[in-house]
Amino acid sequence: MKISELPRIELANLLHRGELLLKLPPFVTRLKTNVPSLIRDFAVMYADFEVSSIDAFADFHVEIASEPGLWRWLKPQVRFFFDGRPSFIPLPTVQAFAMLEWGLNWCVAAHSHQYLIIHAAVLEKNGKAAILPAPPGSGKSTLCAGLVMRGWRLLSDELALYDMTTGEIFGMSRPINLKNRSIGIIKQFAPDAVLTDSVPDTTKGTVALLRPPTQSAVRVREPVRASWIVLPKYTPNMLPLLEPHSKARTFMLIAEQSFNYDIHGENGFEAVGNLVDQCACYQYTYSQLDDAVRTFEELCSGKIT
Amino acid sequence: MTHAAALWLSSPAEQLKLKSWDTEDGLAVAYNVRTGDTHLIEDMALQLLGLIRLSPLSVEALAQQLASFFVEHDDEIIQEYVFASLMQLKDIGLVTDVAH
Amino acid sequence: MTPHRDLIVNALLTPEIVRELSAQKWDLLIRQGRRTNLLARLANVLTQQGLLENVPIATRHHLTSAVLVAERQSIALRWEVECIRRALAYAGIKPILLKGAAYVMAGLEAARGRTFSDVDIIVPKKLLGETESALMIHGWQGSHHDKYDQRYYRRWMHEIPPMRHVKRGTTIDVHHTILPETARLTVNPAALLAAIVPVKDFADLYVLQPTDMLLHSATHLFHEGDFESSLRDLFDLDCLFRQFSALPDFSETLALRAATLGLSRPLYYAVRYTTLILDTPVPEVVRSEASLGKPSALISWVMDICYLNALRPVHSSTNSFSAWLARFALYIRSHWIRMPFPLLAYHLGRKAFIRPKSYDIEKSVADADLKA
Repeated sequence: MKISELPRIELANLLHRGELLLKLPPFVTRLKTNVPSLIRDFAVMYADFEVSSIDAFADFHVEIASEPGLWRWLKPQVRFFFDGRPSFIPLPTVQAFAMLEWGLNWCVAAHSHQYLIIHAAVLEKNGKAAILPAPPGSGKSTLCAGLVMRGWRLLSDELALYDMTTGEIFGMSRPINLKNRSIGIIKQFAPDAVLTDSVPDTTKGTVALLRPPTQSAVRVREPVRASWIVLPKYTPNMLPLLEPHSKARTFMLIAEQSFNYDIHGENGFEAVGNLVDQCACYQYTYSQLDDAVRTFEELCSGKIT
Repeated sequence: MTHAAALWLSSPAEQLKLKSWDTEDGLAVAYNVRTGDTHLIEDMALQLLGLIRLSPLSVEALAQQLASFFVEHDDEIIQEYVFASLMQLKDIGLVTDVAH
Repeated sequence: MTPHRDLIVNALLTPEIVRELSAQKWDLLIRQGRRTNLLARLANVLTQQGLLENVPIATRHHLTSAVLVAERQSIALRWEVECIRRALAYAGIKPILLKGAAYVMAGLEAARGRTFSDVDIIVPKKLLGETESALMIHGWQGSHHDKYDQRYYRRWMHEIPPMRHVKRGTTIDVHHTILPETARLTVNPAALLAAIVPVKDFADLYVLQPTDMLLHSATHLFHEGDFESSLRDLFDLDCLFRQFSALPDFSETLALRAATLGLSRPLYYAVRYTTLILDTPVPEVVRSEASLGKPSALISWVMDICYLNALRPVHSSTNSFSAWLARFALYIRSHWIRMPFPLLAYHLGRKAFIRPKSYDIEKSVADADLKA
């Protein structure tokens, strides 16, 4: 059953009791919350995601709860619990959904070493896939959102799950985390995009989350094999420029941007080497999403090799 | 010179994994199995590691073998450069110096 | 008195039960294993018994992930020990490894699947200053800059404040004895340091001899006021008993050695709770001789109640008032037995007024370094 098929009141009850098991293939997360705004955002953002039966195995037990005490009237806050233990500092209640997203990233990155977990966006079209690794501020999420709103399948905005034995990459197709100016840019670029309210003053600035397209959520179990690694570099007022990027430097970037590269040791070194071998590596400087869509179209149709 | 006394040897193959690509920049990556660290290394360092993989060499011998890398022809400057590279590689545990 | 046997303990002692586990029981087992740092050990036990293959795939990933982390830590620990060895070799100091680092370097069963947070070494008290400066030259820095902390460590503790390596971010604890000098038990560090054994293949690296290693492990666990990893520590003791009991003279000399070192009481607790909670096959001679360290009937009754509760997994599934009360009582006791009363009041008082330094939970989830 999908989240959208659950009556809202039942969804709220399940979340209150901590009995909602959300399928985030390849994982299952058990969620609990008593925060009304979070329940509302969750219902919209995860509408196309499946629910697991109550007696299933859950990889992660997550709760977001309102902080008790008198302060809650003046300065309402929420706290993230991982398997019953408070983790991380409390945040203002308006940030509850963003907190859930960040917390889920942490759950996956800290516990799932069956994959090499790369901090990167992954997109697919016509069976070919691009990895967009990027340190914060490179415009990765904006580019990812732009391409997704023009028909690319979203595997992941934040976490690429690289199976080191098969070379396949999985994503959970979770909401895209937009920051600051990109929120306005995406709203203008794709007026039909479904976003959460913008939340100002988070440690990452103003954030809003973009709902993944239904098609991406439906095909969440299909992995890809990457053809390109593209380092996005948003630079205002620049003509678009796609240029080959050093394989060795790309290797180092992927290694740095992997959460558990260290844990995999020599296997991690081999795996990143194989990934870089199999992909064409580029750096892409851009300032307009329309240019980017065109460039990626050309990549996909083989006009650029 | 201070470096005259030593011979240099790179870590054995099971301790040092290298990966390079046939690309213009000549950059390569090296993995140190003992420390678990990965390093980006330059073309010359890669050649250097290759030359002392099986048997140790002195700075002078290495400088001679690597002379083609340099536009510079002054032996002493090349030796200084080779020595500096070796010290860097020693720092990250990819080469060791052994006494004569 | 029979202890309540939690799922994680049950699975480690009788691994066959995993054949029959429902998805929900697996869910609980993984959570308890993760919280107690026993997942990798469980994975190893299941592998040895040929049971890992049958574990449902999603669940198995958690077990194999934990093994991967533990193996990586073991490699990293070996490198860290090598760095410490080199740094101290220049100063002619031969460190003696304690706890996890000792288990790994001595190749003990207790090291398999164990995770570590830092390296502990012990050196004679007169070499403390030299050790500290040798480490500083090679990149370790004192981590406690608070004047009170510094004074507390230096005056009252059995170690200098933990030192952190500037580049690698690793931590080392340098001890000069195994209990604080203020502790109610008086240990004989000279006897301890006189009976060390070299680590195989190293000329300048030592560990405590088997009896002392076990006694130290026991002393550490039963003076501890923090129970996060106490169940794991109890399993360490179980491993040490099993492995060392096969050594000639070990069982016959253990209780005597404990008496010489002034550690008869911790030995009694170690025997009592490994046998009671983990069914550890402690040889008869050790059981009977260890009872010399048994406290009065009233105290042993109270301690049984406390430890049988406190040594349960610290996890939401085992939360109860009695477990909380037991841990609180033992926390107070851990301070009580380490310090004379006026100092205890001073110390706890100080801690109450100074906000604890930032630790993990104080981080923002948005900025969480996911690699940590």
